[in-house]
Amino acid sequence: MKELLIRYLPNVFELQDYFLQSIKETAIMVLITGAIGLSLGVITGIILVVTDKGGLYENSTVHSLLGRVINVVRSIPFVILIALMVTFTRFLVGTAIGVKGAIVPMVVGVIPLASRLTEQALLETDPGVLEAGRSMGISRGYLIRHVMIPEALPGLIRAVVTCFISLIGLTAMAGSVGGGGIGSFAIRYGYNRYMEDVTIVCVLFLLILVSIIQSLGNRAADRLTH
Amino acid sequence: MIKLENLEKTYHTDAGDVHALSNVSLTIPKGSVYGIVGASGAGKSTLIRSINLLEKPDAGKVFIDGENITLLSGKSLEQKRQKIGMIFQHFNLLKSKTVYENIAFPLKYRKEKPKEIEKRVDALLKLVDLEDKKGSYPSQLSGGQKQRVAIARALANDPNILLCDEATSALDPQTTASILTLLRNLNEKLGITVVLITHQMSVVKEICDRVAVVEAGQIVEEAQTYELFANPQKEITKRFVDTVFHNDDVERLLEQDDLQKRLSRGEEIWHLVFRGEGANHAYIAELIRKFYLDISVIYGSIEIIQNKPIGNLYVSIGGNDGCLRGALGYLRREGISTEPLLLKETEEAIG
Repeated sequence: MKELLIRYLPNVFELQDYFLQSIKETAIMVLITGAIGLSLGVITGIILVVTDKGGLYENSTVHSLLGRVINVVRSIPFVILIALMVTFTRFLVGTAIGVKGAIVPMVVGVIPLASRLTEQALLETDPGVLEAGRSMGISRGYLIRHVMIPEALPGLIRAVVTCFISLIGLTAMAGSVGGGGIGSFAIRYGYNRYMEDVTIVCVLFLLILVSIIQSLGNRAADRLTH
Repeated sequence: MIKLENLEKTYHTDAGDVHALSNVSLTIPKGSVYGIVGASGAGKSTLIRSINLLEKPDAGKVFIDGENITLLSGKSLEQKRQKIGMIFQHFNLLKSKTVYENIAFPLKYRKEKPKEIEKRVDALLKLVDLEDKKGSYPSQLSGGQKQRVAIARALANDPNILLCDEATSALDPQTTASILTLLRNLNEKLGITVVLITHQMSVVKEICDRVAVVEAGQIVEEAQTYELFANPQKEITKRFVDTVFHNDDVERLLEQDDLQKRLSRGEEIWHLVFRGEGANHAYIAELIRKFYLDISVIYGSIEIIQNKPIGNLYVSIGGNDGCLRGALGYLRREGISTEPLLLKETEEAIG
């Protein structure tokens, strides 16, 4: 086994400690930004839906303002967003590089995506069900928590999965500007030093990771669909 | 009792203003089954939604048992709504919850004790005859079963009023009949006031005590169901009533038929409507005997509405002119309405 590794993946074997370290960094970045960014994104998505025309808290000013901000942030390429946010990132977490520095722009980068996907998932729910809830004299807050979200849960899970997968993509990009993680590992060794086996192993690793997340998400969503 | 006073509602759309309700006033007696009929877009949906204020009218008042609920908002309006159940055309059940959880939903919101909830839901399941579907999800049920679940859910809070928004429009005729029977039973057993909107006159015929006809956001006619069918006043009401008697179909057939041939034989075609006792009396035999007329029935039907019959007859009448006029006069005196479909050509007309 060891000989095989040394023979076919010499650089990966050599750099295995770095490799494991970068996996850990990627995991930390994805989990932290996932937790913060997705919560904020889902909340924003809910606000988008309830303030929409005919929504529970119809408010066209909030709706269109929020929609516009999201569209602006979404249209900025992520690499540019990192550069654009350097000052803010430094102010917030004290540094603009490394895992810590990458998390801030990643959160900002994932919120628009998460909120749009949440919005789409929630719009799938039949407005008639909410109307039925209101006719029973149930408060709007309760309807959001106990009708809107549970009814859209399969769609929401799929949205969360898509967000996690694109977060993994974002960590790789953050890596290229000094963010650490698998991306930075692949660029630093695989690309800059022509260690092809590093690139291939990184790609395979990401491929497997993405497939696992996707299939777990699909299974959860299917189980919740009645 | 539900009392609507001068309700106004206008929707501002890109295509212009739509007056969904204009000056609508209506009194719905306690414990009755009240029908509101109208074509789609007539404003009946807005009308029923203004009873529980899902649609807030621009002006006017809604009284429920004497209380002006248009003044309520927030929590107090929510509490009022708990006493007004509502069911919908597309059932609006929670897909992610079982039949049991759907019915328990309004009770859980009110933080009832789990034991109480279970007792109440089981009783409701029995009431709508769905005890064996407790653990099923809505997607596993037929349309009629879904509507039964929706009815049970609407009754969970023990409402005094049940609003039905086209509740049978998505169901087949047999299922419609069973849901209507259920609604009628609930009305009789629980004394619950049922308000239903529909575009199907057959539904009105089946269960309503009183009916209002809505056209272009206004109530154009309001009467006891039998009266409305027996004596429709407005053109739109006649058209609705005709759909139950199939008069529209008959008249279309007659137009295509060999009317000209009958005419050449000196016959006339009359549409006679018999009400109440008149539907049982042997008028045709009497006319033939007393007035020496040749009468043949082209089409006839009897509908029972609120336990009283209404008969519709299309007859061709031949014979002496004077006898014919005499016969028609006799019928009118007996309270039978006579309407000519095709008359003999008179001398003047030919001249």
